[in-house]
Amino acid sequence: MGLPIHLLHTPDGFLSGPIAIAMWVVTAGVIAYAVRRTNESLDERAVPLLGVTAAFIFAAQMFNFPVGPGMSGHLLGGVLAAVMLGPWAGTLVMTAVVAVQALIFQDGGLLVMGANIFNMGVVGTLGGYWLYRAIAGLLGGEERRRLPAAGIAAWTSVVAGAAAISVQLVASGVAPLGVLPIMVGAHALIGIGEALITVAALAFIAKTRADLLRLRDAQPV
Amino acid sequence: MIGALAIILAIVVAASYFASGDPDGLERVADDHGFLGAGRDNPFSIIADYVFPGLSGPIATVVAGIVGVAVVFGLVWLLGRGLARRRTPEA
Repeated sequence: MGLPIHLLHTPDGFLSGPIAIAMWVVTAGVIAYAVRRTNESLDERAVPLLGVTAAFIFAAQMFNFPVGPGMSGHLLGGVLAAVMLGPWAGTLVMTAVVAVQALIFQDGGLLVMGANIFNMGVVGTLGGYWLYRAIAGLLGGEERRRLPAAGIAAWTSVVAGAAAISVQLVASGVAPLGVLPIMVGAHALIGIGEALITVAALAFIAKTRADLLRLRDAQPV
Repeated sequence: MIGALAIILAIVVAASYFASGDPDGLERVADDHGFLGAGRDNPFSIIADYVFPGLSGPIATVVAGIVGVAVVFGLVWLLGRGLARRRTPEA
């Protein structure tokens, strides 16, 4: 029995004030730009899909799966959001999920929310989306190679997010440099779960509602 | 839409009963390296730790999860409505 559910995100105190504020500034800029881009391109028919994707990511993040002895992992969902919704709407969906988790469920700090959004949302959705498109292009196109491209991007997004929080922890003087390879190693395992869930979700949608995969504004970003 | 919400509800229930109780990657590393204690609780909480106030056991987490799903869905829906462009011609 997994109770109580473990708090999943970086709490306040893990990052120094200057680092947390710097991450907030960067993240606020990305969010502002994502709002503008989403406002330019979001089709109103995609709005319910935004809500469902956000709700799915929130629910799936609650589900910690065992990774190794004494350690679990959970979905981040950034690549899934980006593949379904595009990078900009995907970033806003991840922002909403992280904000609700911090404000209502005390999961993730307030001062470090900028860093949490950046590490899970921006790295996962923007970085993940570009990587997904690049891999899909190399493998022969998004229509035919959606699943392997999404799987590789999903794994990479988790490892990259872990590297990002590690650098912030070290820069904050909270953790020694040695946490970087350990965090990356742990999340190389957790990322396998991210890839499996992302691929399974996209395969299910492709089989049941393939039209939803064409709703996204497909212009390359 | 109904089907998707049913799947999401099933995930909430499954997470409440079957999720791993072990710490996640960051929490485990923080514990191993002695900085877990640096974490501070937020100054306020509404449904702390995914346990709905007044309930106990997995059902408290089921209720908390349903509230969270509803809030996230509603917030993103409103955000999307505010930002979306009308593409379909008006009748």
